[in-house]
Amino acid sequence: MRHTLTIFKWEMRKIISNWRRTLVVFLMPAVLLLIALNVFPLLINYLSTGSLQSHPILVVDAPASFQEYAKNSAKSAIYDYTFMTAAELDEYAEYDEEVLQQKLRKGVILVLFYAKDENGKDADFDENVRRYYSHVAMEEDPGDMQNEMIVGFDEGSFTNYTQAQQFLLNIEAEYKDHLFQNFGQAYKEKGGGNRFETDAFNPYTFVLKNRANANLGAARTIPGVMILLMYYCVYSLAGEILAASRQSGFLTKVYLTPIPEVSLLTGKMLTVVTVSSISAILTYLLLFFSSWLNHSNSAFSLLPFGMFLTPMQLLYCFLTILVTSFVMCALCFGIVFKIRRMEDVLLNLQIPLALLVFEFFGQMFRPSASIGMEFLIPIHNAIMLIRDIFLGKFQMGNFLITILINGLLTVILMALCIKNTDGMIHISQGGSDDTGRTRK
Amino acid sequence: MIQVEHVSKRYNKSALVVKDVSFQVGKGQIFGLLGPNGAGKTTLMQMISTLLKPTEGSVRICGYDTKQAPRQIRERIGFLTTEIKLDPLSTPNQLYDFFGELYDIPKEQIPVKKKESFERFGITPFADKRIMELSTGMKQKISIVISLIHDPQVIIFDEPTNGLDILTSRQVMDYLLELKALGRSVLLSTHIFSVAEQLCDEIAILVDGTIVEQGSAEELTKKTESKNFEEAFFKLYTKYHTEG
Repeated sequence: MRHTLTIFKWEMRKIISNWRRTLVVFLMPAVLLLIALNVFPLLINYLSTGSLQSHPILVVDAPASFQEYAKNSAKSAIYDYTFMTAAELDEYAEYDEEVLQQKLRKGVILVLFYAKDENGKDADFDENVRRYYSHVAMEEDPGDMQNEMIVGFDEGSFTNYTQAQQFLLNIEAEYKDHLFQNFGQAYKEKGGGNRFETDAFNPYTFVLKNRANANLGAARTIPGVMILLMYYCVYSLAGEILAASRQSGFLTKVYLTPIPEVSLLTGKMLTVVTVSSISAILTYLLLFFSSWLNHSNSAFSLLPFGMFLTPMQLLYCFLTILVTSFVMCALCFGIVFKIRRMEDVLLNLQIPLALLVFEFFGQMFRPSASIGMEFLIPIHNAIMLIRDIFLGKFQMGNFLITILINGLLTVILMALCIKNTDGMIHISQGGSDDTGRTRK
Repeated sequence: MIQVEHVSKRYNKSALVVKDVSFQVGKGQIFGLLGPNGAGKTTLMQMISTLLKPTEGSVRICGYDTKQAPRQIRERIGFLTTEIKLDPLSTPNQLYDFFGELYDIPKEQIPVKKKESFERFGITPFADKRIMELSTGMKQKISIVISLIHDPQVIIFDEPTNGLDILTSRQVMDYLLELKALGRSVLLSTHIFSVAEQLCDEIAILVDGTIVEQGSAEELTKKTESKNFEEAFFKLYTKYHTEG
């Protein structure tokens, strides 16, 4: 134990005293993540619209109230509105129908307004709303009055469908409120239209309302990204403190001291686990703050506003992360102790990284819930467990299986490493065997 | 102190790299392994120092078998090879403290021993400089100091003067003679005749993984009817080396 701590302190000092390494280990994942968080929605937007700018909305026959709303509403800031009349649209469609179709295919959302008065005749939208509220205030039948906002999009594209739904979600309710505030004065004076909310004054209600959506969104992103970045951290550290140290011969120097092999390996493992766990916690905090700073709540936002885990949920997450970092570290150590050439070691260490990238994208678009057998697959089970925690479907049995499987695999891999030290601690640089083949 | 008995080593399924090697090194003796590159010197030394396990035969140091009691052996040996590098970002001070702890040297003794060793080899002015900033000779001196931090009974040096200038080589050789006088057993491998001739009480000529002749430099010269030790080596090498 004492020797384990000596190795641990030595390795930690080396990591902390080297600012470049510290930056790579702690800040690189966070910076990469921030870039990914910002670039990914832009990329999706670009793929669907062909533009990196705000989402284009073509508004036809927009009433003055909508134009005013679009100008002043914070939620409208993420859209790029083009206003035209129906006549202009017809003219445009006649002139170049193909271009219009192309625009729609590229994700342009078409918003049409029209209003019919009591007699079924075309009317001014805003005026019609005002008259509607007057009728309601006077307890008169509004008849067949119609005020409609129609949202059109290319039905062949799932992305466009999502964009349109998100547009409605963002705009519809708020614009209705805007109309009521501006034209519903008569009705309001009569005491109508005020919604009764018991907890409207309580900010906690607002948080919880958002949290339910945000945690669902976070379940797509966070488990994959946390485990992926943690493996990045584990593999770069394992490469540095074990493979590179073996390559330079320093590992041999330490191995030749009378400390047990198990102390040497556990000391190094503790370093990797400590640093990668801290890195994972920092990643989580970064994601947490990213979520709480994301007020746009865009459909393609990777982390919607309001993500929140309870202390118990956090504890289960961190315990899962801890045991996963152990198994990842043991896996990396196992690779190092199986392969002699440094280039091959690095290549093989990167294979799980590539698999985890696939897993991350898989999780992003996975609609189904976890199934029991998945918890038998090491590392993947951690992703599934954290996902379940975010989805509010945590089960203690799955948690215990995850801890058990990953813990058991760690012990097996470490035992194999210790058994496999013969010829794997020291890599001879200059010697050659009798076949003339170098033993690098 | 060192007993090597019928030791052979095979890497995976390849042919034997070391074939049926036996020798003994007594207390206060310097034993040299002399051979060309690829003769199996390094492999043999790695087996003796517990880095590799012999495929056949046994190695015993101070009565302990390398396969059965590697930890006890590591407590009693100091192994130095140019292949083992010190951490380039650490300072001699940090390295000494670290290895002092690993060798279970009492905390209060570490500064005392460090001061003495650093002064003996002229390391003191460089004690707080990073290894990467030091010369090859200084790095080798620090390696020696750290390898012998626990005052081992058996010292195994693989090419101890490799890459060193004449002055540092001389300093290292003098130190080995000092260790011999203190009753330590020294096993060294070299391909430099002058080093073997000046230092070793007994020399084993290793050709293609086998000891082809063993004795003092003088005995080997006489036995092969050569003018000097260098000629004796070449005669033996030509006689026993097989191509391919």
